[in-house]
Amino acid sequence: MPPDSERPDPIDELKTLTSKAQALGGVASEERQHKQGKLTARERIDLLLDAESFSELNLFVETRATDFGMDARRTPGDGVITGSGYVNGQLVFVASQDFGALGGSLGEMHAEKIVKMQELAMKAGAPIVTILDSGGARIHEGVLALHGYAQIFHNNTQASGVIPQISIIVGPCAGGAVYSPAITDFVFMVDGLSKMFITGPEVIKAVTGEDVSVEELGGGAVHSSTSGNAHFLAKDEHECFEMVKKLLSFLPSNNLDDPPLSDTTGWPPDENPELDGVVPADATRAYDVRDLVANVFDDGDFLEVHADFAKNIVVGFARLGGKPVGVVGNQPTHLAGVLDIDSSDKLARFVRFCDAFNLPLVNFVDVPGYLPGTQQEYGGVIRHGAKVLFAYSEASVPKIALIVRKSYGGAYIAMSGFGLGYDRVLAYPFAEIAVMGPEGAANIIFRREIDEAKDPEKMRGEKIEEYRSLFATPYTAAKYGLVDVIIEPRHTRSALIRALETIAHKREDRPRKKHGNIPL
Amino acid sequence: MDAFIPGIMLTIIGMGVVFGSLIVLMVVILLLERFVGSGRQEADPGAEEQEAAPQSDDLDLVLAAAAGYFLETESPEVYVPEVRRNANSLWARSARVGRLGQRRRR
Repeated sequence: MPPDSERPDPIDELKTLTSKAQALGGVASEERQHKQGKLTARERIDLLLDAESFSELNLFVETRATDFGMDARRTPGDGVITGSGYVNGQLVFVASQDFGALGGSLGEMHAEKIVKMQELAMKAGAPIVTILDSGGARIHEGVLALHGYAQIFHNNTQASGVIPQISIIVGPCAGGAVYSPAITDFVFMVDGLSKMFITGPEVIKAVTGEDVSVEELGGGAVHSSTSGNAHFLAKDEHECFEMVKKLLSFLPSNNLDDPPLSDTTGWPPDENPELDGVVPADATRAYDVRDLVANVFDDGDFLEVHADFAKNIVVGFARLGGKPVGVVGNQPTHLAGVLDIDSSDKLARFVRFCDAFNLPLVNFVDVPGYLPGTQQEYGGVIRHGAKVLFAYSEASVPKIALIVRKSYGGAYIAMSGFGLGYDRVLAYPFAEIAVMGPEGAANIIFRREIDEAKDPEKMRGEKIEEYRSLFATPYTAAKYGLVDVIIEPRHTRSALIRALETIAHKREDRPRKKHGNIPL
Repeated sequence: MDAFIPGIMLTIIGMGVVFGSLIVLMVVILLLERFVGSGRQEADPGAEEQEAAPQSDDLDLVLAAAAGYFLETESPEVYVPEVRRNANSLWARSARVGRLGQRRRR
């Protein structure tokens, strides 16, 4: 042991070591990140969290690997920053990978840090935000790196439905690394910056002969519109972190807490004449369901999830009387608002998230049914469509459906059927509720009369009208108690607020079981 | 029919006056550009080149400043409202109640 005079002052030593460790990959790596138009791991944390609120964990952790020259390549923090902090006053746990330090690759200790952060978040009942910018598993550490991923996936799964989990991809995320974001609740990507794929373009070229660029294969635009792996696409990192903050403002910290409340500005008014002109009574005319949403919910503020994927259904978060709700609406401007494979997946996952985190569901129903065709049938639309039925049946949060125009067949059952466990079903006066549209129904029911008529076209027209007058109104369903109340469009907001108030504290028991078996 | 011929004449004269005026205006603008524009060029030749090409050291500074300005001042368009969270979280309390229940059963 050196004499006291030779030992550095412990406080100075701490300051020196802390400053060295906080530099991660150093100035050179910082410059490399900036040259690529990317922020550093620490800058990203600063953007996300409230000022001076970050408490770092395990700053001095280093890799224990020595093979393949790793003993000479040690970096403080082992390529990831973990800790906790506050986002607009809400406690969150964070991990931010640093591409500048060993390519952000995941080795044994890198994984240990993330696992520890996940476990702390689960103890504290606080959301996890993981910022991914990594080259994948650290090959030098072999099976220990794979073991690390396995632990992370396991914790992601344990935390699912207990605390909200958000993944932000701001660089490469390839191979096994993609499965952690895929298990989490929401994935954010940045246009032109984020890349996510299981195998890269070179491997694809070697195996299948396909030529594809990195951006075409796993860019943000592809994952937010085609594959649906990304829920949000931001134009740059700054916008991305603001979107994360906005999402968190709708969410409770865990599955026992209530979602946060906010003050209302008084717009839109309870009686809003603007709504009278949004939905055309003519079922063949399209309109944007988001216009309806904007005129009903607080301040017209709506955070759309999966905005570019399966556009025939719109899902997202809004507030009604200051309380966050999950909003679902069929989108008549895209495929006439039918349900299909992708929209069923999108909807079912959103419903399950809302149910897990105590967010009531409000449906705006205008659905002609499930999309017909061999492509859909061969693709398993039965299995995917069943997910929607399963998710809504399983959900025990308040469920309100407003039939704004048509609600036909299996899609009626899924989106507005009392039998599925909806608490309140409302309808506009021009709503149509039937097994199928009047044209199709008249052709089947009155086939003989139409075939035998002197003027089949005239007879068909008469029978269509007959069917329409009988079933294409909400009053038949109301007569059977399958619609609670028929409202004028201008009273939508007040009617929904009242409906929500009556069931805000509902209690609904389910049989005890390990878990259901949703048709995946 | 009596009014037809004068109507046609009036239309032709009107259009002629309008187009004639436009042509005169075009000529005036071209002449002005030629005289005033060339005067400017002669007065300060190479000014644009000087402005557009700073010294190489300065170029880095300019680029850094532009990047810094972009990173620091770009105002996000995402509206994040202020929210209130319940201070009495059920999270810890429910865990305590659960543990008490387990002990009683033992």
